[in-house]
Amino acid sequence: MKRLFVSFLVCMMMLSGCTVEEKEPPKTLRLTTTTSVNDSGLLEYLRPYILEETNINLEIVSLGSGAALEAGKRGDADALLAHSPAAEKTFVEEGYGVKRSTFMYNFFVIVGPSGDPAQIMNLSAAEAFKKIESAKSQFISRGDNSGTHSKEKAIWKLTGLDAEAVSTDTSFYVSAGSGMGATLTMASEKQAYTLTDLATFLSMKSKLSVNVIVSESPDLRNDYSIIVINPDKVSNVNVETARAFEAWMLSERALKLIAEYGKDTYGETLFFTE
Amino acid sequence: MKEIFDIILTSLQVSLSSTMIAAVFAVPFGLYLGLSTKKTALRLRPVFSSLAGLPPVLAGITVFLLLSNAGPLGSLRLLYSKPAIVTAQVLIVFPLIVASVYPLVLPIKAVFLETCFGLNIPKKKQIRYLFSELRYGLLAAVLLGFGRAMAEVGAVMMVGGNIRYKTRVMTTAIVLETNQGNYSTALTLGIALLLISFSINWLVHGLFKEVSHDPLY
Amino acid sequence: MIHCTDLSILINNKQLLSTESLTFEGGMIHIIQGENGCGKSSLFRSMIGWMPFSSGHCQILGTWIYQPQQFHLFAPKVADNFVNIELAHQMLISLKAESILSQSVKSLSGGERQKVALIRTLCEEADVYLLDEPTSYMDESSRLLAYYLMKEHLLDRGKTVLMINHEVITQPFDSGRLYLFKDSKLNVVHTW
Repeated sequence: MKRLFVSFLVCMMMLSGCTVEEKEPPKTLRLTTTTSVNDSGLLEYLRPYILEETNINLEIVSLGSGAALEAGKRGDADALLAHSPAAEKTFVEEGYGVKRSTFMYNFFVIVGPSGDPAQIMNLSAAEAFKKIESAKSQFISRGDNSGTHSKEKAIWKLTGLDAEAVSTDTSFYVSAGSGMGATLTMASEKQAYTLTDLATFLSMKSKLSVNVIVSESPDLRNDYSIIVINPDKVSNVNVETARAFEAWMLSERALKLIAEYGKDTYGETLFFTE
Repeated sequence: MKEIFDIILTSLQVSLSSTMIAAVFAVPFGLYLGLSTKKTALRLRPVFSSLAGLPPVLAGITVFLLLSNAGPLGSLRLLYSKPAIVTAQVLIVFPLIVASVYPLVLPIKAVFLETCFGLNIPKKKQIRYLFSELRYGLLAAVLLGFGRAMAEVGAVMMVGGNIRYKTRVMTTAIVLETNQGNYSTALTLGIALLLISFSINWLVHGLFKEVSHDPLY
Repeated sequence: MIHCTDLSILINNKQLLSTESLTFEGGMIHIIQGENGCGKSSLFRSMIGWMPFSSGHCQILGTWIYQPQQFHLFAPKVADNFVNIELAHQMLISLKAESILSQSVKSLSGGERQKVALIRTLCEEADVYLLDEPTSYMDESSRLLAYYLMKEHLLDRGKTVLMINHEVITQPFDSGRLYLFKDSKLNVVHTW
């Protein structure tokens, strides 16, 4: 019985040796991203190029921004891909991340009912928010401390209004505490305004009855960064692979691929690179 | 802290209403289903048993599609409100209570029916007799329903929308806090949920013990 | 009064009863005896329509009350079984069992359960009473008290009473018939 088992093992080793001999097995990278990045499909689009050119196999976990950073702190991820600059800065300053590299951006948009009851067309985001508040038009907030929610809070700060008072004014402000998809559905159902990333909106557009009202205002810019987790502060993270992934993502080749993404599906670019 | 308290109150408010509404119809219906010898009743029993085990999100999507703007009841503007949550929970709890009530009748059914036939007791009065006779079993069934309503997440998220100060309940708040990485707040809410569930069951258990003082019971 | 003609009861292809004509008059007791499984209970069930006859028909004149051999007592309290508590209490006194009125049903013995069931039946007003072994678990003296109660409440008021019973009794009933159920026939063996 024992001899049989050993010969079986030898056979298996020979078999497996034959297939992998030509190439090293791919290295695994645990990448945690925010939900909106994952929903845009960008990483699935890049995945075969990454495997081909760097021999890295991505294991993607998509979480809300808060939970994504928390996963980084616990060592549940080797690298993060996020879009909440303020929280990321604190994260790196506290020593959890080696550094933070901003490599692409796009624009948030304000969507709302086609009638535009608060008359915010062609305004800047801050002015638009001010008018929504004074008109008491329904506004749906993610309310989940996600990157999009952080952006929304930053815009409220720009308006000069008391952000705390606004977020507790239930006469027009609805804090959904949900993901982008659920929040957009709610905005469509309630015919309300909301702040969204363009990629998620475009992917759901056919099912929604709200339109883009404000876009490409400078204060709607949305920066995406890669953070490599610091192995000195967090144990059991694979820093080499994370650095290799970061280097590839910042390369000319990757930036060109990113800039092309979405043109054939949505007819417009979803992410811009510098 | 006040917000957590409000969330707990909202949870209790919607779950109690939905359980009560469901129980008022499900208990007599379950008793009738257990007692009836009609063919339709025999066929309905397995239907309710399977409905009790269906994923609650099915109830959620049904209510969502009904109440959504494009749905048949869209004009009521009830989506993302407490009544919407109550409706979904009633759909979840009703079959659960029916499915746990009718088996209570089966062991005594044959003798009970012959006795009632012999004494000329009308159907309505039979159900009233069963109601007082099986009240602890019925109470347990209703509590089971209440527990399920309190614990429900998916359907409540869909039709309630987890709106702060309005439709946020304990379970959806736990999901939200977990997604944000606030595990300690999520855990606090979880423990509160557990404590509420425990105290309600202890209370009912205490009530039960007080009444059943028979040595043979 | 009950009048039956050409009765036939078949269960699982076994002939339980086949009789030409039967009449049970009021004002006297009809006691039916027979071996276990000979079809006594089935006869009662068929008479009241709980179970169909294979053929023939049976007519009960007036209203009826039937107490099955295996009966259900409404729980949790003994008192839950009585609509007229006052009358039930008096009957319990005459059976020397008034203390069980406040007890719970689950704590009763077999004989006590039969007392409750019998009184519940006697409290109901009807023209015909069908009782299937109502006293089988009672002790000797309770049984006699129960017979007195039946005589006083039913027979003295002209009711028709049919009782399945294994004990051969004539006392305390003034008049009655004793039937023997054998070989699917119901024969009168004694009249007094």
